[in-house]
Amino acid sequence: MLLLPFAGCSLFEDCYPLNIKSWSATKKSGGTLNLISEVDSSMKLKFLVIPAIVIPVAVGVIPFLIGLIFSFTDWNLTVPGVHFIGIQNYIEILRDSSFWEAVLVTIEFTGLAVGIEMLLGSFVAFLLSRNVRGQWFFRSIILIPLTVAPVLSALMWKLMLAPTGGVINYLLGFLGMPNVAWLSNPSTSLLSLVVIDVYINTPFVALLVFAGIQSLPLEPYEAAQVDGASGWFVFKSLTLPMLKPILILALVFRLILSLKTFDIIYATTRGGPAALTTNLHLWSYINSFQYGAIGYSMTGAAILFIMIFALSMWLIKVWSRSVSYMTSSQ
Amino acid sequence: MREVLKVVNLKKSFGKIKAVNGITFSCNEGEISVILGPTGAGKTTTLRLIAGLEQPDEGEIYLDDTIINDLPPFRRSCAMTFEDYALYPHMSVFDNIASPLRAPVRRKQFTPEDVRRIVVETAKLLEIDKLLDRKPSELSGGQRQRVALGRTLVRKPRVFLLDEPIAHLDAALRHRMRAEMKRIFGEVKTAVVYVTHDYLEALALADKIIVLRNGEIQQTGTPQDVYFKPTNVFVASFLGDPPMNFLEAALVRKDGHVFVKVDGMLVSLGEDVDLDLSRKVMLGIRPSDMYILKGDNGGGSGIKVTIRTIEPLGNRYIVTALLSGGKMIKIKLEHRPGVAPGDKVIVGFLPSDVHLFDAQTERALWHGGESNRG
Amino acid sequence: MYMQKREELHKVWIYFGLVATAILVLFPMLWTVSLSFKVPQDITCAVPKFIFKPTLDNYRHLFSIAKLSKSVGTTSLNFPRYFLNSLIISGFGTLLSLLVGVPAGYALTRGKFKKSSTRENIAFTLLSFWFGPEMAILLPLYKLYRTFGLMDSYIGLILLYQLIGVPFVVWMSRSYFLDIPVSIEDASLLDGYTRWQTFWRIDFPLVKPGIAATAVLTFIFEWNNFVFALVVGGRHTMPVTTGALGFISYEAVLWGQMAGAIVISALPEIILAIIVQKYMIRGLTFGAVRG
Repeated sequence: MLLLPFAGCSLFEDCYPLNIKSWSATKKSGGTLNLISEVDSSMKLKFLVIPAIVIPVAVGVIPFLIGLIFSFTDWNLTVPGVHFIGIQNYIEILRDSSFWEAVLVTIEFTGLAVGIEMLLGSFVAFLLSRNVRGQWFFRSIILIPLTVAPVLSALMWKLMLAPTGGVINYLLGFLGMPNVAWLSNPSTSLLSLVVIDVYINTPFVALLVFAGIQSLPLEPYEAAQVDGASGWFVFKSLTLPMLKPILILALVFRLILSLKTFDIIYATTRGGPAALTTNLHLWSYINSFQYGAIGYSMTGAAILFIMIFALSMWLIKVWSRSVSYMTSSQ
Repeated sequence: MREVLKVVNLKKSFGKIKAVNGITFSCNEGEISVILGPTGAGKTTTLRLIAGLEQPDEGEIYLDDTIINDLPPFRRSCAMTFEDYALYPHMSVFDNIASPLRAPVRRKQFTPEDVRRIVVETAKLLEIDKLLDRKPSELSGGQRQRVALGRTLVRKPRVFLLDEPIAHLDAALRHRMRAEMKRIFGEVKTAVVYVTHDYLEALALADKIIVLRNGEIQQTGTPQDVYFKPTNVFVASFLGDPPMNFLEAALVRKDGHVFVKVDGMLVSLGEDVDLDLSRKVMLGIRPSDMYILKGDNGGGSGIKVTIRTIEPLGNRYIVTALLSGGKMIKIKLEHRPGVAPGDKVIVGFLPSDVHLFDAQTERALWHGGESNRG
Repeated sequence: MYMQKREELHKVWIYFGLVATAILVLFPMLWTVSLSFKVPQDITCAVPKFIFKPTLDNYRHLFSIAKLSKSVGTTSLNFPRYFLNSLIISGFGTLLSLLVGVPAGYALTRGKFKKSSTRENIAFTLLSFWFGPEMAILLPLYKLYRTFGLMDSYIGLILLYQLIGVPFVVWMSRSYFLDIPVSIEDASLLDGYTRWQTFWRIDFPLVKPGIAATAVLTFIFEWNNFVFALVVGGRHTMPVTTGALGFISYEAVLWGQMAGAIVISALPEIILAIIVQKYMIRGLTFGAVRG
């Protein structure tokens, strides 16, 4: 039966070490079996990472470094000749009022948009987390703006915000508001862009926070219920602290991605009117492709890069602190 | 009995942690060797080194007198069960058990009919033949464990490596499986290396016990050796529940006899006892080797204690008692103690049950019992 | 009784909020859809019409190139071409990202590195490529591509799009591979399979759904890109994102056709999203939540 072969070990390979002896012998003489030696396979695995590093480096890091070099030159497409001018660009840019205006726009836009998105998104996440009938329908609806291209959503809004014949003005007319040229009016253009950005990105915050809410543990809440804690107390001392990591994560993503907003601005206002919606990212594009000042605009891009880099380093430190705080308290 | 597996001076570190620090042992055909130790002792690492899942920093591993250090796992004649069973979740029980037989290295040897026959027979042996079409997620813990076992049996390896196979089963099932495995491995004449942290399991199953602590072997021997003649304090206290009591003691010579003096009581060790009397010693005595004498009279030789608590465990009683110096000892009795907390009684024990350890090195010096040397 | 009434009142408010959110989210899209079916007069008239006679003219114009170029004058629009370009660039881009990223993700979980923190560092550094302002790369890249003749080429764009795909695929596939217990792979190695065989019979089947969802999301993210195509793309390779802007020019604004273009451009991604709904949460939150 099954177990008998053990005694004589005649049927199956494993019982006889003959294979082992002959295999080792072949290995010593460097036979072809060396090719399938899997002993060090884990050591060789790490080389699979190389293409994934090489391509982004080639298409991303190297151009960036080259661009940094540009920022130390006076390269302008309208003027022949390229010379090294050291940090002159950087000094000049700090005296350029258009640069500072762009910085201001960046801060205003990002601050307002992200602030609203965090609040609104958290609120929507809360709504979505309630157990009501048809919850799946609402949760799926939220996903849609996330997948539609931001440019396309911005264009949709451009259609709606038309001064005459635009449906937004029509609806607001019921509230007694006159027709406003939302995107071209200096006093409303940035605000309109904020609205568009909020529309596009709130679902992201909502989804992230919603997922965070779903993964909250039940036990603390049950304990609080037994203790008879009030709703507000529960929110302040249980929900909020436990959601902190996810909220910070959402903030990190939104802040960083918002600082480099480009497509929705370009598609709707091209940075106008009078550069009132030009943030730093768009500023570098315009200086390059409209004025040809590649070296100079690269300076702006580099500064933006440094801003984002510094901010993300700091935010990520905050985030990891909040996460370790969470896990250690468990 | 042929020697199947030999491990010589195995060393493995992970970063600064020395998981395995110079281990040497051997296993014979048909023998169950149990590696016993607490968590983190290096038991699993040792198993993985034998299996080839890790490479040792130093040392050699021999299988049937051939060095297998350079062989990849799939070339070694070892089969292993994992603590979490490691069943393939997307395959049926049948495919899980058949998996080793279908490996390309062996493909030429087994036809599909062979595979079916072997798997079904193995399943019948483990009483899981009705579950062959199920997926692992549809099985209970005990069933999964048997599937994992089946996967190793099917390979007919030279060495079975079992990593805490019954640790996650409930108590009743664990007892049953202990007996089952003793039976199965009894019929199979391969070497078995069994890893556990449960000393009872080790005592019940093992032909040879290897006690491991912090990557180093503390003692190798039969269950009798390890239980009755532990080589150091660690081994003595690890095998036993409640663990052995240790009391500070000193050696004195009186009238040609050597006594050990503990808490005012003198225990005779005999005449020709070759011990360094100047060393401080620790007296070790198992809770099950102590008994309670009532009253202050009686044979005189005993330790004065005050009863603290009595824990009834069905047909057994664990009594915790306090010595005058503040130290606590536990006594295990098979009958009702007839005392109550707060009582002052005398606890006695036989010299033949005494173990002496060096207070500093913690090595055993002397064991009562058949032979007197430690 | 009181508690029940309070509960029900709460529910009403919640429903109200949810419905309001749904309306706000869907309205712009539904409005755009309606615009795409309107005649030019209905679109530009002062009072927007909610009830109108639908027409397929806009769509017909979109797909007939001759009519498009005639109507706008100098700029020639070619929507089918834009759509095809998006498919080609995003499709091959995603494919390349998968080919490069999945093995890398696997290597980062099972490979042995000198320092164990290297793996997370690599994965995280790759992800941080998403944080960089594109202009910082595009300005020099403009010149580089010009020099090497990669401007307005599929290869140039597909390579550039890897900055989007590779970090994401590596990050997500690493997350999925981490879910597989190492002991299962060890068991397979001991059964007699090589690491290569183990990958295909154990890891790959278990990770397939996750990788599929990652592929879909990568496709969507690459489809959505605008900046890269703007700077480095051109007449031949223009995808729908930059192409949609062509409907607004100094001569005329083709509202209806633009609306139609938006609808068709957004449709594939919405459909894809609905298909992989279940895995979306994990992908969209970058693995922060297992869903």
